[in-house]
Amino acid sequence: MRAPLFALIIACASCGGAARAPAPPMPRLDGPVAARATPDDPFRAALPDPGSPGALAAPPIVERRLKNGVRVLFVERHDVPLLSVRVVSDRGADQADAGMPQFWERSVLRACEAVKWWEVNEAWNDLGAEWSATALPDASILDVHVLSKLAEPAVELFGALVVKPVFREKSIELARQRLRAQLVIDHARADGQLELAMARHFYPAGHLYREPWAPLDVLDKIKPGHLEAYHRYAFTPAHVTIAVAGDITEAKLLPLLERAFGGLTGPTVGPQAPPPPPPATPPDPRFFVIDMPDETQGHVVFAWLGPERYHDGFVSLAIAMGDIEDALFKKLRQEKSITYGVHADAPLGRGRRLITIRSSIDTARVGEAVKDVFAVLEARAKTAPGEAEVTEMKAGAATDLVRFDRVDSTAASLGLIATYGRPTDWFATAPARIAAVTGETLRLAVERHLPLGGVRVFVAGDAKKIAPQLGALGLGTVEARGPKGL
Amino acid sequence: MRPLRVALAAACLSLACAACARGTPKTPATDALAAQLPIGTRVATLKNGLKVVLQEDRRAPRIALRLTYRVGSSADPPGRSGFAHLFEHLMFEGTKHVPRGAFETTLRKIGARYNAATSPDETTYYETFPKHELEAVLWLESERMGFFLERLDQAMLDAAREVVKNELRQRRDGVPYSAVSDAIFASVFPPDHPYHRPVGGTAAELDAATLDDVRSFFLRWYAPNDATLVLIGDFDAGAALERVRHWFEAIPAGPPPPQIPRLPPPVLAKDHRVLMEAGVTLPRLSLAWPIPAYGEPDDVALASAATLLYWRVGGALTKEKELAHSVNVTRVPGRFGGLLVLSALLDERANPEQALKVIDDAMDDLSRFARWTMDDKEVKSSLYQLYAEEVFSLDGATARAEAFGTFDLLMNDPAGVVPRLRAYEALDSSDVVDAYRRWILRPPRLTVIVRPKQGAPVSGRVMEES
Repeated sequence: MRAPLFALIIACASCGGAARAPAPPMPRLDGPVAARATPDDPFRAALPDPGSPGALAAPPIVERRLKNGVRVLFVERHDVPLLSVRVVSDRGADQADAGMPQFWERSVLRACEAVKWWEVNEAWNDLGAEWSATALPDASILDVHVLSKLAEPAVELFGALVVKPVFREKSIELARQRLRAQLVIDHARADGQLELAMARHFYPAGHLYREPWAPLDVLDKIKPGHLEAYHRYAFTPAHVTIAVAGDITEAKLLPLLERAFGGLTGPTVGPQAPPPPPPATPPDPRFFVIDMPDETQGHVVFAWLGPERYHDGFVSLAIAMGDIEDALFKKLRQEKSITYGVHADAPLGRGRRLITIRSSIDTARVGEAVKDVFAVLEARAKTAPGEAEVTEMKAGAATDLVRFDRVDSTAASLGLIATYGRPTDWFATAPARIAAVTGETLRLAVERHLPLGGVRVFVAGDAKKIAPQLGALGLGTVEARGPKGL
Repeated sequence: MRPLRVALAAACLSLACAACARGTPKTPATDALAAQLPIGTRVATLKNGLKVVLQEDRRAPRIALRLTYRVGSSADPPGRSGFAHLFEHLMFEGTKHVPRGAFETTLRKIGARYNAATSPDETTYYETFPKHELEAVLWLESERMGFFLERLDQAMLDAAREVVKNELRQRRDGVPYSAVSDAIFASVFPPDHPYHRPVGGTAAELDAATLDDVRSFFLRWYAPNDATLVLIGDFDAGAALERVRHWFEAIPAGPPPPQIPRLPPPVLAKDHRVLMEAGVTLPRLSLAWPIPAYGEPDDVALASAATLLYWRVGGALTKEKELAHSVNVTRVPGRFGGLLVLSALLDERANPEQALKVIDDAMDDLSRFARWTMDDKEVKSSLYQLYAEEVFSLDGATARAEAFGTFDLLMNDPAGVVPRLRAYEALDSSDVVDAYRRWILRPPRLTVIVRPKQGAPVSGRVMEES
């Protein structure tokens, strides 16, 4: 596939045939330059010693309730004149039919009973606010990010749209068209094909996670009433937390939230939705190749069923994933130059989602890369790392797990406390949880959550080049299918 | 809900009134806001010309570093497209005191999150790391700047080249419509213009790169006197500056940075059309116009005009005529010129010519309107958005380091956000109308149509130009 690739890029680079008025030439910038050398010094010879580490401190979190029972989590900070408000429900896509949350996130915050849709649009524009809706498996999230001087009108508009939303047929139709287009594009991409293949492989018929995107026939059936019902189901005081961070005082914030969200009603105590039923043990084959003959790389995903719900071993698993990513980066990119990067991810979810390791590999060397990954996993499950290694692995963990750097990330971190029902000192105690990780807890995390027997490997790429490489490994059966076979 | 509407209108008026004060060098709204913005910095220039920008931020025991070299793909040598980007990768391979492979291993070991990026105008290296590892990161960056050539060998070049080729295959080949962007730059900017070449380059030209090319490029461009180091985080600024001097000041200056001419934007002599085909299901349409460089007259007005274009054309194509699933308007203002691109992902049943007619009608409506004045409210709305976006970019140490570095590159002022906000405040509708007429409405444009074709690469390929 390389020759056509070169032709394509050269064709693009040489298509400067547009007629133009003359422009002054750029000066030549690449003339010869005299050599120069930096004088060496002994202090440059090796990595300098570190200084004294600082203690990571989460900011104080204020917890309050509105009169209707809605929980408020607030971090006051005035370092930048911004305010972020996140309204989060702990009911998400895991408690809805496939497709419904995707429609909801494209249709909500656009109209309400008090303000017509065109006025809403103008108001958002006039406020210069960033706003968004996101349906995650475990949460439905509404965000507004705005200059703090415009906090009052922005939060009042936000409240009106959350408390009494209107879902218009027209905006649902637009959402339907966009989702259809997105489906078409996702299906053309290797990433999309892989998502679909994994979901179909791990989750049995009828399981909520079997469809990463809503099927077309489901998209066609969704009406405004469905979305209103979903919104009412998710956004009741018992399930909603308002997470606020930014440039406002508590004295101003609480009356404002009361005005904006005081009208939110519903049962004050709601039953917690049960987690979705766990899927069956993944079936064979071990290797699944999606034939995309035009692909010039082999896009590879190693996937395992993740654990149920948030678990205390999550920190060890997250650090172990980082370590595996580092080891594979070193092997596949730095030593062999056969990939651009490696990404390992353990989702923080309530249902049994997939743990994955992803990389795009030089097509000719996919088999070799798979063997390397198996070797790293086997070594990590067998031998606990030493104390010095564990210290290094943990060095970056606090950066990843405790995020209060930005105003919007602070609100998002508060939202996580709500979504997963964690105590408000969850972030403050994170350094202690990180400190408790040992070499043995890391080894156990790999042994328990990344067993070689449970891994399934999905590859999107040129099957006639890749399938024989996988077969030659002798690590399990290989099945190749065209994209339409999915 | 009457009170809500009144409150909204009142809040918006406060900025609107400020925007009425056209031409006033200082306006109350920006002055009041500027006092709240975290833009106070200590700026120093070392003896070798390295510019250092420091800001204390004690919110967390971390530091964000951004080191920008004023070299991007616009400086790629002839026949070596992609060279600046290849260099970005090479600079992670090793130096005199950092063995091959140890650069990134060390960064990971000390808990740093890091990356690098190459654009037509700059190559930038980023790290965010625990505060107690400042010495380690300054050591690594000073190694890159001062001791790279001592380690350079053929194996390093070959390894970086292979990784870059993997990146290009991953990011371009299997990505729908990814060839469109290169086609637009190549068509709008003439072959001798610095933005004509694709940033990532071509595999053939990457293969042609030699060690001599690498040495020459390094000596020409990787010099302290053409770079800016931004540090934001948990440190004492005076002490941090002393440590920067310790690690960097002995690195000799390079040749004086070239005086870059202020190039007028290229002008297409007539409308130009590129027909592409791609192995996708949905057709796509792009229109492009060359626009002035960042900071040139009309740059700020065109930011507003781009938003209006998006609202008008986007509304017509998606909501009114339902021919497109999405519309984007992207403004790319660089050091040597700019580009404004309108792209529409069309419905599979839509004819691109029909969509072009709708775009032309919408632009015509805007033009009829523009002969007199644009709707003040619409213009002001676009300005509120742009104004807020500039402030959002200062949220968090890592983002702020990025903003300071970008403003320094484009305006020679790390705190350039304030003059930028004042420029938005000083604009009125006639500025936007004039800029719209001068750069979008009247000049010829480039049209790129991507037609679905089974068997063609999903990224797309050029079939015809006229």
